[in-house]
Amino acid sequence: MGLFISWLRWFSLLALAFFSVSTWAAIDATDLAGRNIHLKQPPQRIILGESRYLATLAILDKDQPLRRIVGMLADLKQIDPGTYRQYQAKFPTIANIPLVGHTSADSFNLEQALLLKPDLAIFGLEGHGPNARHSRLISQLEAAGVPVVFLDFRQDPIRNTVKSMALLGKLLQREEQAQRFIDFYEAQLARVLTALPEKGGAKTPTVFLHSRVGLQALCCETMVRGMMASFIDVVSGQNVAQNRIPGSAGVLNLEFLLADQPDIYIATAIGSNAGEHPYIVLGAGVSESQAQNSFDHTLQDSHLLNLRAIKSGHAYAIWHHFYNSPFNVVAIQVFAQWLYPQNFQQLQPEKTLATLFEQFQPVPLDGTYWISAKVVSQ
Amino acid sequence: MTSLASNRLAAEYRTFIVNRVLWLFGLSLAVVLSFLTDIASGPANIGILEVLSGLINPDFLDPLQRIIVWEVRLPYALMAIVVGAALGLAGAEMQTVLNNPLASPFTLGIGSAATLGASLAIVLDLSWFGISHDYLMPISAFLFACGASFLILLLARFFGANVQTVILFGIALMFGLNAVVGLFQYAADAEALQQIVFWTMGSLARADVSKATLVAVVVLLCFSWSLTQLWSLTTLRSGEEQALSLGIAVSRLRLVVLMRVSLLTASALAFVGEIGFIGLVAPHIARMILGEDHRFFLPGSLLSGALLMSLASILSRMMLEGVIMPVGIVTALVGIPFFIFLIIRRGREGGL
Repeated sequence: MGLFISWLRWFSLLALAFFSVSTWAAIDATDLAGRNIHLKQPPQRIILGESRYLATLAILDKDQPLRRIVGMLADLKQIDPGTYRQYQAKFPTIANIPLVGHTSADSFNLEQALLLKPDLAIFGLEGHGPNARHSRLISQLEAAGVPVVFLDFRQDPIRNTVKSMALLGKLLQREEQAQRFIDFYEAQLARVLTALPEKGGAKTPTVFLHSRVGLQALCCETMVRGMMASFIDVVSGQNVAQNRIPGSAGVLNLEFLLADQPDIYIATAIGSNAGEHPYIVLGAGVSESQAQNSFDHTLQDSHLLNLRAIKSGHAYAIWHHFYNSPFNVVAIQVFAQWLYPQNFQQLQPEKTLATLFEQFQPVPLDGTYWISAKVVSQ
Repeated sequence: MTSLASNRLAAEYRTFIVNRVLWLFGLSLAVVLSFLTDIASGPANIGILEVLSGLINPDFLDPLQRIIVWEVRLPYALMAIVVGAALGLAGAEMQTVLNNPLASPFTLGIGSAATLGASLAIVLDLSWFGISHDYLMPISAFLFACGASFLILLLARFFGANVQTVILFGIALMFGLNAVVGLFQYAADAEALQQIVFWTMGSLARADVSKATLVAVVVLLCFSWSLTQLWSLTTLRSGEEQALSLGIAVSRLRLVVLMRVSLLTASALAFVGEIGFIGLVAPHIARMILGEDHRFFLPGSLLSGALLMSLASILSRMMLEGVIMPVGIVTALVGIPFFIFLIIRRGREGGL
C-alpha cells in the first residue's frame, strides 16, 4: 500500500513536471497597437507602464496580483490613492515594488527598468505612462530583450477592453480566467446595447461631460473622443461638445452651456480624500455622504448651478478612473440608466460592480463610485 | 525773422502734439470698441444694445442673460483690458530703462518667478490659514515675482546698477528659475502637471470682477507714478550719459522703474498665468506710432497692450464656437501679423 502511494506520488510529480514543460512553450500574439508579440516563455518579471493596470492584472490573478510585477510607475498611488490604499492593506509588499518612473512617460527610467531584468513590459496605447508613440523607448527595450505589449482601455474602450483582456490572458497563461471575465463583460454590455433606443431619435438626450472637475479654476473641460466620451456614444447620447473640439479633450465656454443647455450633466470625480475641495470625491474608501457633500459643495460654488440639468436633478458624478479600466462596463450601465431611465429600470449597475469585485478583485468593494446631485433649488 | 522761425517751430510742435493726441484718442476708441465687441459676442445671441442696457440696469436682462453678461463675459473682457494694459505699460518702461528693444517683463525672470510661485502652490497643494487654493496660487506667484525683482535690485545695488549688470543678473535668474520650475514639473503628479501647463499657457477664464479691479488699481497707481517721471524717462532714451549730465539720477530711476514693472507684471500674471507676447510687442507698436516722447509713448503702450489683449480675448472665444482657446496662444496669433505689418511699413519709410 505504502509502495503504491509512493508510486502515485512519483507519478503525479512526473505528470506535473510534464505539464509544466508543455506550458513552457513560446507564445505568439498581436497586441493592441497591431504589433506581433513573441514570448519565448510565460513572463515572470513584468514591468507596468501604468500601475493602474494592477487592478486589471488582478482580474486574472486574484490571489497574487503582485506576484510577477517587478517594477511600475507611481500613477496608481498618485492619481487613484483610494484604490492604492485598498491594495496596500491587502498586499503590503506593494510598497516595495521598485518604481521605474513617476506619472509620465518622460519620467520613465529605462536603466532602472532594465536593472530589474524584466521579461515583459505592459504599456497603454495612450495614457500616463510610455505609450505607442515612444518608439525609441520601445526599440530600446526590445533591443535589450524585453518584449513590449500594448493594452488599451482608453482610446477605444468599447472595442478594445475585450481584446486587451484576451491578449493579457494569453500572455499570462490565464486564458480561462480571462474568458470568464470576457463572458461576464460581454453579457453586461449586451444588456445595455439590446435595450437602447435608436441614436438620433427625437428623444436623444444631450449630455455635457465635465471632466476632472476642480482641476482648473476655469470652466469647463470636457472629452469628445475615446475615454468617457465613448461611453456617451455607446449609450446613444448626444455629446454637446461633439464636433466642436478638434482634439480628444478641450475647454468649452460656460456661456455656450448656459445658452444651449444640455439635458444631462455628468461630472468626473478625481478626488479621493474626503474634504478635498474643489474636487468631487468618489472611489474606493469614500462613503456616500462624503461623496454627496463634495458633489453638492462643488456645484454650489459654481455658475453651473444655472444649468437646468442641475436644477432639475439631472446632474451626476462618476469616478474618473472608469475611463481607463476594464470595469468600464459598469460606467456604461450607469450612463445608460442616467440617459434612458425608462429603458433600463431592471439594470442594476451597483450589482454589476459588486459582482466584478467579488469575482475578479482581491479587494472588497468598499466605496462610492457614482452619485446624483440632490435637487438644488435656489 | 527769428520770430517767424520760432512761429513755424511752434506750429510744427503743435501739429506734433495734436497728431499724437489724436492717435491716443484713436487707440482709446479702439480699446472701447474692442471691449464692447468682446462683451457683446458669444454663443448666446444677446444684442449689443441689450448687453449695454443690462450693464446699466441688470434687471433689464432675464436671469440667465444676467449671469452670462455679468458673470461670464464681463470678467473676461475686463480682465483682458487690464492685464493687457499692465503688460503694455510694464514692457514700455522696461525697454526704456534697460535701453533694450528686446526687453519685456519676462526678460529679468519676473515672469518665470511668478510661474515658479504658482507651481509651488500647485505642487505642494498649499492651503494655509484657511486661505483657499484659488487665492494662494496668485499670492504665491506675486510674492515670488516681487522676490525675484528685489533680488535683482539688491544685486544691482551692490555691484552697480548699470544696464548690462542688471540684464545679465536677470537672464541668469530667469534660467535658474526655469530650471526649478522644470524640477517641480518633474516631481508633480499628472494633475498638478496639467495645472502648471495650463498656467504657462495663460488663461483669462480664471478672471472675476474683483480680481480685474485689483489689477486695474495697480495699473492706475503705477501709471500715475510713472507720470511723475515722464521727462526723465524720455531723456534716458537719448542715452545714459546724456541723462546723467542733465542731472538725472539714472541708477535710482532704474530701481524705481524696476519695482514698478515687477508690481505690474506680478499682479497681471498672478491671475491669468504666463502671457508673454504683449509686454514685448505693445511698446514697439506704440513707439512706431507715437515715437519716443514718453508723454505719449507710455499711455500709447498701455493702450496698445489693452487693445491687443482684448482682441485676443475676442478671438480666443470666436475661433471655435463654444470653445475657449488658451488666450496665451492667441495673443501671438493676433499680434504678430499686425507687428510685422508695422515693421514692414516702417522699413519702407526708412529704417527702424
